[in-house]
Amino acid sequence: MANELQRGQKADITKNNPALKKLNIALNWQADSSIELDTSAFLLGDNGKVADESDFVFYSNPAHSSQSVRLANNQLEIDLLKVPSNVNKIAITLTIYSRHNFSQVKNAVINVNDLITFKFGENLSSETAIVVAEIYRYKGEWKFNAVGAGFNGGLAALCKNFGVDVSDDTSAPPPTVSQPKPQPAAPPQSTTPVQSSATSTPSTENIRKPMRLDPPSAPTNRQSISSSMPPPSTSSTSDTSKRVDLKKVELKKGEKVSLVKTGATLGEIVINLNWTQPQKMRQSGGFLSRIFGGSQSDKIDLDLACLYELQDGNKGVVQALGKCFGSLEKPPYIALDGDDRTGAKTTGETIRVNGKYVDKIKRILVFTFIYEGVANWQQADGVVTVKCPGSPDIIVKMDEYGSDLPNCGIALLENQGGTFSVEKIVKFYQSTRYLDQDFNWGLRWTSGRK
Amino acid sequence: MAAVSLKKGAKVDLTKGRPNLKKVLVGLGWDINKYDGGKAFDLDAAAFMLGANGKVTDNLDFVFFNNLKDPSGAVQHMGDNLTGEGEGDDEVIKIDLSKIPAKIEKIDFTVTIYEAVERRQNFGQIENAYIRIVDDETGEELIRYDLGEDFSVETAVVVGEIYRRNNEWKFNAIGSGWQEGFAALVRNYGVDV
Repeated sequence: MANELQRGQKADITKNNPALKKLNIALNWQADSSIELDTSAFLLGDNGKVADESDFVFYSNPAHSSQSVRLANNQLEIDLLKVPSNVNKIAITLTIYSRHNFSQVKNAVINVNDLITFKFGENLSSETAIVVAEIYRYKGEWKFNAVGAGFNGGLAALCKNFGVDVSDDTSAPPPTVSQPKPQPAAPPQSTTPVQSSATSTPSTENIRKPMRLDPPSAPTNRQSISSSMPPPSTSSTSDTSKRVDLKKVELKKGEKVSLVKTGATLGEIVINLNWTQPQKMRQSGGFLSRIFGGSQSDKIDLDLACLYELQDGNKGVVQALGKCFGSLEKPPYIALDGDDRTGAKTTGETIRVNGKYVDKIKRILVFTFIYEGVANWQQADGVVTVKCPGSPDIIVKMDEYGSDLPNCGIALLENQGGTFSVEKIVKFYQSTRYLDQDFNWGLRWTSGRK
Repeated sequence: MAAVSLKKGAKVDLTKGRPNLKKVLVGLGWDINKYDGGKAFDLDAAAFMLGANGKVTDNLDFVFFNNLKDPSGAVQHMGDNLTGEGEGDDEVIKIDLSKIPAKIEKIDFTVTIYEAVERRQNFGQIENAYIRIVDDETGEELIRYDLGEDFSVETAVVVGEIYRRNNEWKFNAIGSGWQEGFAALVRNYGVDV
């Protein structure tokens, strides 16, 4: 009786079957006859990469040089005894041609020697290349990992993930490599492996900023949590009994929500920008940084800033540039925490708005700009979170890329009857001046330095 | 001294023999799915400050992304990481042992997958998950527990806990998984959701 796995499950192959030396791996599916799928296998080392392009077994290279993996009619045979010792994992993959994707493939199942089956198609949709499963060494035995996940970028994305260079190698399969990617174009890739990323550890030494993140600058937040006995004046307790809100709200572009006002005034509104700094990879794993990697030497330093307009007509900008850090107790009642590039990457950059003075504020346009380096928004993968006591976190992902403009308007907060609405913008500009113009802010601009 | 690397179920001293240990940093890390098809992963760390009955006495003793600090100020969540990318701790919880109220017998640390059911995700798709406890004043890593291969279809994991024993704090590498998700886990600790 075969062991039927769910996605994410792992199962022993050899542990209870010590005599098992050869795996017959059958992949079956139903799809329209015009849809062509190809099985491949990648023989991977400790680092999750192929050691050599010949470790990619596909229709043009149907048998690995070790004879351990053979491909015939979309089925694989693996001779476990012949798998080279430097190969720790064999990824079994399926790719789909032309304009189709895995939503058009039904009843997909992989079967290993009738010991293990896994219906791998159930969670797939837009993918065009998937890892069906992995056969891997674990404590001297072989195990099976039910993966059933993949990429929207076809065989090229799959190859890149496993370290097979398809960009300038003619032995790689040409038909799918040139397939247009539905995703926005990836940042320019260096063709060398990105193992040398030790040079791009989170940098502290060459980015000097005038202020450090200083927790005591948040007294209002602390008071509001600890000053009263429960049920306190914070969180969603006042109108929805004692329930704890487990939700985050992610805004779509153009979508607008209002912050919840639970007391006489809003609490402190905390607007945080976090992004992915190119990281030194862990010894194992760390694929993501390679996929989205770009040139690993690019440091990313985003600065969070905002334009503000007060009800009395005063306008200005809060940003590190020019040391316009603002103030919570004086106009504009908006303050920027100092940069924190010390490696505490859960922190990012933060702007606070004193909710006590919401009535004095007309609107706030949160934006970010790349102070130095390449405008690689995809790599930065920025996320802005707006926190306000009593409201669910509001999340604005900077999930539009493809722009090399260095300035991005992220979110617009507008005073509406004593609270703020939050609207997702995510629009790119050459400079803050153009952002200003687009939103009719009306500041005068001169260039500055930190 | 190298950090003690634990196996599931192991219990070790945290404060015993370390009389100067007052502030600890609890770092939780993971590597998410490397595939771009399907939905993005968002994992969240949380801390539950529990009484002798294993329940919170106050909803605010559940410290997570919407409640970053408990009323005593002993436990502080350092912020939500939405992507889990990169090296090092993905989320950090700081604990001032001297401020933990006497009624708190233990503090459980959990990692949950946000909207796991909706996004059809589970811990089988997470790699290299760990919890580590660091002396926040010296930076020395004291205890580390790598979750390894133990999880598959779970959507929430109680990674470990610190608990009082004979006026000292100890650490227990729990590593128990939940398939029912975040809300069920939270309710199990007596929080109203």
